[in-house]
Amino acid sequence: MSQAHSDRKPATAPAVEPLTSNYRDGRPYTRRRDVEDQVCRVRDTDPATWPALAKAPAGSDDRLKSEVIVHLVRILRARGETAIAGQLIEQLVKRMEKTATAWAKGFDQTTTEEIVIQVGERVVELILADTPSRQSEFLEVAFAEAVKRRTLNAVERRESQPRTYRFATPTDAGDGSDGTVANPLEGMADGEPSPEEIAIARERPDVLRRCLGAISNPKHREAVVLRFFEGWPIVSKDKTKPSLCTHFGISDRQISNWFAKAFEEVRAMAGDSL
Amino acid sequence: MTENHQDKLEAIIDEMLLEDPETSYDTLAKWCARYPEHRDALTRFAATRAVQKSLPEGSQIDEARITSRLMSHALSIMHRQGAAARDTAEAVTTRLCEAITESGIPEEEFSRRCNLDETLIAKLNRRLIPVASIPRVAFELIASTIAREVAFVRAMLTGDPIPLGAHKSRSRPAARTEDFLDAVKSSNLSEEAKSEWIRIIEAERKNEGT
Repeated sequence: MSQAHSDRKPATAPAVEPLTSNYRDGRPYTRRRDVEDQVCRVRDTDPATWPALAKAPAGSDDRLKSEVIVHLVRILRARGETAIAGQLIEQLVKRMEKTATAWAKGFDQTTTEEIVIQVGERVVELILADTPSRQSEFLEVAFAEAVKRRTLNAVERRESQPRTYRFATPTDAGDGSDGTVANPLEGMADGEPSPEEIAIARERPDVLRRCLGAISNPKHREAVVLRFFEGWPIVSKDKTKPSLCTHFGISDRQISNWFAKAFEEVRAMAGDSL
Repeated sequence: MTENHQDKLEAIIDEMLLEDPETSYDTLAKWCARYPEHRDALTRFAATRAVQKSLPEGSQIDEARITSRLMSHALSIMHRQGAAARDTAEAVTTRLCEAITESGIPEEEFSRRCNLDETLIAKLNRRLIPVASIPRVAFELIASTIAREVAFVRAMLTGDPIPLGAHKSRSRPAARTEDFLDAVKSSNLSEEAKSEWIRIIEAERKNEGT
């Protein structure tokens, strides 16, 4: 069982009104323990103080979790206290904007804003839904993941439309690309890129990451990301498992050609960095 | 309600993200094996997430303007829901005959426009016909005739049967309910009007089944 699931309170002793939806395997949706604890601590306090708690700095103990705010909004609306509910919704909207913007990159400002608004309007509707649904209850389970999923779905739908990628240019100074991703090249068993390409990805992942913008073809760039940063196989003997060939619908030979072209552009941009 | 393909896929992706927000390849492969019918969609989603993660910081957005727009959306929803709640609260205490009178439409005219006779109106007035058996068309006809929302009419006709105020027997007679279709069949409507209601009910049932 994952950490996310093990942190959830058993449904037998709910401190807060239980959620009514179920996971695919039949287990009931449950809020995280820290969410329920915070709801219990806050719900009997003066609601007038809640907006300030929602605005508390990120990382502070007092700051209300997004899932808690969703629950408090629903409590307030049931009591008819819409003014304070509105202030809490505003805080949720601001958090939602940050999450959505972080997962809707590579577009011009107008398109990014369209995506954020589209996601935001749907999330607002779910927060205010009169009748609980799986989607509305999931906001009390994992608010940020719900926003992230909806944003990525919106990005997927836009993928056929023109976009303007704005990659960073390589510099010697660190830019946060610290190569913290576990090396996915370990244990690669399927189709292999060239030894030189593997060496670049293994030994200089930071440079490769900074030079992704040099790869002019978005498909080539996506293939490099999936192979060298996410560890996807080029081909898979197990047909149920995803691979670059099944994802792009092309042969392993074509994928290798994509890599060759992509790394040529990376090397040209990186210069002496490699 | 039957869960459609898209709803199911969204639920699966939500769970996959909950289990592993990073959606590693192993996680993706596991969920693809669990739901092979969604393999391509799960794979596309994971690829989109990976590409998004690899991109540098995106465009700056006008947060203040978007917050304002989304708050306007939220307030509009809350206002609409508040109005609907007030309307529903009013509806549960209103009887059909009162609503007809308030609308200013003579009952004969109401009967004609809604294709209902006085026995049907009396049964609807006393909530003797379960709302689940009343066709959507009937709600819409009543609502448009008395100039109210369909939700108002639905709420007005929902609730426990209302017993007669006056009765001859010592004990109050039980209010017997019957389906809209049975009430139509036992009404004084013309055969043509009855046939029309039967056709409407069958058509709505057929649509619900598809």
